[in-house]
Amino acid sequence: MFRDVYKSANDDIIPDSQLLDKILTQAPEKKKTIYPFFVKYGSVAAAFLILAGTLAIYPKLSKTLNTADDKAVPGTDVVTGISETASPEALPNLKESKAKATQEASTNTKNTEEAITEKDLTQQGNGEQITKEKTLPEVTTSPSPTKNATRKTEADGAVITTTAQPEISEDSVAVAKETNLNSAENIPTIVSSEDMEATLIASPENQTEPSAQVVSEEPIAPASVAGSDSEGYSARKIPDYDSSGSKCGGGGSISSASSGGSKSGGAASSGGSGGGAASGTTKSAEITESKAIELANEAFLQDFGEEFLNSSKIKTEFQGKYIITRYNENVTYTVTVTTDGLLKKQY
Amino acid sequence: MTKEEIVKKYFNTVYRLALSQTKDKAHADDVTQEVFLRFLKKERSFQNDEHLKAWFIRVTINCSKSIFLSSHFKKCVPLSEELTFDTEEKSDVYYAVADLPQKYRTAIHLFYYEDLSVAEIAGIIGTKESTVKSQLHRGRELLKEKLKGGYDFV
Repeated sequence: MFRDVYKSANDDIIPDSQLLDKILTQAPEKKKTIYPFFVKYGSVAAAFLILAGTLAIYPKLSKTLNTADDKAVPGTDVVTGISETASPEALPNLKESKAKATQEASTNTKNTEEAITEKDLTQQGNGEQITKEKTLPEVTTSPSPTKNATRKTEADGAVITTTAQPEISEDSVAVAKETNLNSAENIPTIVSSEDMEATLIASPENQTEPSAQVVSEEPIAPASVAGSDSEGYSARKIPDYDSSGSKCGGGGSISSASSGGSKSGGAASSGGSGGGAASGTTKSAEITESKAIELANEAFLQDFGEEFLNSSKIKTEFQGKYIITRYNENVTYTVTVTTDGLLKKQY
Repeated sequence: MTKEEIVKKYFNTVYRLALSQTKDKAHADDVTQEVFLRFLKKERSFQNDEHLKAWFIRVTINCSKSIFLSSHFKKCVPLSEELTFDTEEKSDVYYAVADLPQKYRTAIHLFYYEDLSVAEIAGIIGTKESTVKSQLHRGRELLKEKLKGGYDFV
């Protein structure tokens, strides 16, 4: 058998024993250390554990952070001391904040009181009690404190009356209790603080001639003294306004032309325009247009007679003084009437 | 088993295979030394003895091939040292196998001396079983021509 022969032939080959010894002696002695193994695999395992732990803990951490924010106790805000979202139930500092707010509001109301026109009323009959009726804007407060612990005051058409000692309650900063108020007949009512100045309804005491009513909506030009002329009368500049058809002077169509700007017709309700009242002050001593026309007609009548009056046309101008001209085909007669009543004839 | 025991156990196997591959004692010594040095350096574990044996054989064949490719081996002429055998038949058979081409020689040596199967040989060499079969067949044919003894290649 080939197999047997070939095996026996190879078994006869014996390697050198020195070679074996050489191999055994030359074998390197490796120190088995686990450090590289530990470094290699341990670092990987540690990283994995850290990552896994982070992923596992992350939801809890996020929850705790969110709950920490939600659990912020209202009313314990360090910065302001007052929470924006404070609820009426749980506010440990609510009373203090309210006290502060009421104090501030009271100071505010006092300041407003000074700005508001007051009118002392004396109680007729008794004569003892004096009450100040003040129109104050209504003050409303909210149960929960505001950011800055201030109270907003609403002043929209509300009438508030206060006494000398305004009471401050929890619901309102300045609640005035009416005590011993007079009847409302003689009390001028001020609708609102905004309309106080503009819509002061005059009481019978304060009422003046219709011409004295302040109805002008236009800005009133400051009175300027143009200087006195040689005639001896001063030209006081008065805002221009349309002169309505005067009722005075009888008969005839009177056409008047406005010299300048127009004025509202409110003043004409009295039957004449209160020219002199344009300045806003009472003009009872000054000549009105109607008066001036009347004076001019008297002059016309005196000089030219009644026929001239009936046949002539009238023309009225105002240039600081009333210039009333009557003219016909032949004659032109001009009478200048100052507001003081001085006449000057020119024809 | 310790490494020394393993070295001693497989020393002859590695040397004889190296000798059949290199056909030179010196080179066989070098290959053997290289194989065991590799074994001693590497900290590797083997599943069983068959796994260990297969490893040694594979490394021996690879080391033998590396020596063939070295410039030193190409320049050197191998010394014709004659091996002594008890009988002439053994010598004829050994030298007849030694004269075979390297790939046939490997297959014949592993099949007939190491008693490995075709599949094992294919696994060690890294070829197909059909390839190993054909190599064995051609090797036997060449041996039959050389030996002219009528050996039974079972």
